[in-house]
Amino acid sequence: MDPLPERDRGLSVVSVSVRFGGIAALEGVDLVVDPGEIVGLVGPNGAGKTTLINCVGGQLVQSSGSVWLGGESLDGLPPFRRARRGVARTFQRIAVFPELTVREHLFIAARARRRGGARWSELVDRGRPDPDESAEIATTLELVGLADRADAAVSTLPLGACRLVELGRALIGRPTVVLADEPSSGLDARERATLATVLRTLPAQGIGVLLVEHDLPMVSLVCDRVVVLHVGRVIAQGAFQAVMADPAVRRAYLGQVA
Amino acid sequence: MSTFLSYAVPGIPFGCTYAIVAMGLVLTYRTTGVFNFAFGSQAFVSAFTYTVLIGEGIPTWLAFVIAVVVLAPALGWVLDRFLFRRIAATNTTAKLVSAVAVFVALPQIVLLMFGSATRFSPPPLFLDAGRVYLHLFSTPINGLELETVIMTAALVLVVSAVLGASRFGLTVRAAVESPRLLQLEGVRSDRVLSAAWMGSSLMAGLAGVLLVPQYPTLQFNNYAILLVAALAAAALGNLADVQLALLGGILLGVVEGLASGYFSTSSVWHTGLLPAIPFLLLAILLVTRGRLRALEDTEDPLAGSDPPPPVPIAVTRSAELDRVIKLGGRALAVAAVVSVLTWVPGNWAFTLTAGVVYSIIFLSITLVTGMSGQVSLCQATFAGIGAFVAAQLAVHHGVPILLGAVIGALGAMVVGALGALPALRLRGLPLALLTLALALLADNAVFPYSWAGGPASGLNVPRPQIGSINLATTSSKGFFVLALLVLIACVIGVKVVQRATVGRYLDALRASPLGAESVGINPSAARVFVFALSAGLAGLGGALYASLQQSINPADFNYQFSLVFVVVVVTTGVRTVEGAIQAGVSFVVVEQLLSYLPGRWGSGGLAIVLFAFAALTYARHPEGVVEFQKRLWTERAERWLGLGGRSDRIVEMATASTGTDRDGPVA
Repeated sequence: MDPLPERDRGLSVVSVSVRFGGIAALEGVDLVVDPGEIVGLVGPNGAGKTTLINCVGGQLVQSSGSVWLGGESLDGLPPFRRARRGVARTFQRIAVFPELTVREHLFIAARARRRGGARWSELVDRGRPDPDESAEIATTLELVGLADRADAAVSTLPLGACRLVELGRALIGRPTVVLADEPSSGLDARERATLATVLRTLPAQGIGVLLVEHDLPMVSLVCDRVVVLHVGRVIAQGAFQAVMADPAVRRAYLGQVA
Repeated sequence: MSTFLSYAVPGIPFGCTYAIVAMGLVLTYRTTGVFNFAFGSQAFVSAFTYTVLIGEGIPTWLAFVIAVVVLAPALGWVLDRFLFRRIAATNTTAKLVSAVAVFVALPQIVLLMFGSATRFSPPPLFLDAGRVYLHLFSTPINGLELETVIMTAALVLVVSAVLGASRFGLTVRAAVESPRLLQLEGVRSDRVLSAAWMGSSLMAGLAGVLLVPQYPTLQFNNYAILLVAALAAAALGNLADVQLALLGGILLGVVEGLASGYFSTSSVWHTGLLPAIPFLLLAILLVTRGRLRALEDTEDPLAGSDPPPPVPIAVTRSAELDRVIKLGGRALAVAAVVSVLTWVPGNWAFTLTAGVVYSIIFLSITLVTGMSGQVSLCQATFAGIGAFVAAQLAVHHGVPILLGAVIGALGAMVVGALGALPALRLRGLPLALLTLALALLADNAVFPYSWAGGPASGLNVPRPQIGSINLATTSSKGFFVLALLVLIACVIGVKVVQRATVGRYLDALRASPLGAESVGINPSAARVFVFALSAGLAGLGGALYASLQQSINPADFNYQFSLVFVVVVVTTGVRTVEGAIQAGVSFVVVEQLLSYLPGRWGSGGLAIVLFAFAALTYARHPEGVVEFQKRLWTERAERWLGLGGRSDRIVEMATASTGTDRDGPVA
């Protein structure tokens, strides 16, 4: 089929389906995240939200359909190549490196995501950020509010701080799109506020965000647009208030009551 | 057709021996969640006890009861109670290393207890081995073969019945996934696991005793190789399906029967391919079967409540103490070197030189296990490649041994990189098994050739000649200096890699492959790099070892050394360069000290047992025993001296944060 015209801008998911054995986790999902746009991806548990994010990040290969970023197909690329092309993500179950410090997390991400790939000098260099990387690390630390804990090993940080580390690790290196998988779960009120602030700064830098979130007030606060997924299908999309008023959405969330 | 059958039919009873062990592995894996390397050793212990008892004139049935019904479950209970229960379900490396340690130690314990004299195997349990009972397609079937088939059929029924008891099976699976979570449901998961282990050990004992008459004499090596071959059969059933494991075992036996019949005994196929078939099959299955790749993907839902692993003490101790310790360490090293060069007697100087050479080989484990977090069970094979290349070049082509050592190291490097390619998608247990299969492949199909491992009588390797100095004539002290210089160069090399960006990448990949790939780290490149570098180091060390010993033979680098190496390095500390050197030196020093003991106690088996026991603490101190003691004493010293090192601060931060917030990821 002809790819959609939007695909040459940000992230575009074109009729992606995922089947595990006989079960269809995603059925023909279309979704677009433009640069500078925050799209909320909501839906009840088991709707396929994380499955969709995994298809974009490359952790999972879709059964059919395709994923595009900035006009190029991501299909068939392993996760690390997608990361270098500008896909960044966080994880629902955090995937940090416990023994490394916050600063080292950001350094690794800044270095590894560099377009053009690895260099031979990385085998024998001193493993320290160059001036450009240092500046970017410092900015990111400020942004996610971890500057005072930059040199603590991540194993010593509480879960909320770990989620912010993951967010910072995703943001460094100017990705095209950030896939945030339930970044607010396990965060306290102050950390949620930080998270919302950080997310709101991204559109100005032209970064698109796909935000999977159960916290609906957070979604209504930061998202420009909401996509509702239910049993693997997109059942509604549009502005937050309009979508939440949709009878189909109310049915999906509340059962037959509404 | 009749030729075909006359080759294929004798393969069936032989395949049944694979099937017996394969079913035992499947049962153990399904009920305990541990892929039990020790299975082969447990089988050997029962077989050995049985043979010894019969040799003492005890009736067959009583010997069977003692060895299989009493001893085997007791052994299983001990292994569970004192070892595997203490290891977290998610700690794949700890489970693997502990099982390897048991695998290595158990036979040595038995041999220490009963002596290592040759034991001739007793006859089959109830049939006469010499008598032909029936003809199948005009192929005679003797009593031993018939009995093997009968016992296999009986075992299939028993195992299917046990696994079919779904209520028990389900409880056991739950206990394997998360004993703690099952406890919350009010089930005594410790008892469930004990029962599972006792059952699996019984199975091992039974297999062991049934297999005794298959070999003329009782040797542990037969059981070890049988284990890996049976693993190939079990892998056909994804380690989960008893019927498929049975079929796989018989099929493997038949294929081997056909191959040995059709290939003429002098052909390359017969000498090279035939012994390699099970290991090749295992390697191919591991690489191609998706289900096998996910062998140990268990996740304990309560793992989030575990405290974070400790960091090496050198990172956290106070700056003052750090300076004192480093200075002290260097002074000690210098004193040791000066001592070797001056007053230490010749045999001890030789021992310490060997320690330095082992340190080089062990550094390769620091790289592959310490840095990339993967257990490789073929480091001795890489050392062998380096040694044989250098030796063959020196003996047949007159290449100076040091140049040969470099070429050998490069050769090992290439093999390591090529070997890493099929292993790219594997991690943890499947990768360890693949490396073991590669090691056995080399042992059985490459090293025995005289163009590779040299003649069985040994290959004479020269000592280096540097200018007018011949290191063979100026005693071993000149060689000591040479080995030390090479070791220092290797240490610097490893430290450079540890500090470089690639070192950070490897840290990230070890901690979370998922997270590391998501930021753009190429896991394959990092893996190939670390395997190649590690193989190169091992190869260099192996070549130096050959030159030090001045004679090597094909068995000097067999898979058992790989297992022992891993156990030794893990004992002292796999994460640091110091750990590798301590491992190298203590490995030879302990062995040399024990050699003063009388009789069989001085034969070297005791050293392996001691290291294995020390390695069992790996579960509780993943940083290594020596590293753990260093932490303990550093913290004491800091308290006494009132230094208040960096470690206190980090511990405080950790306990403060694990209190309430860290109750695991929220779904």
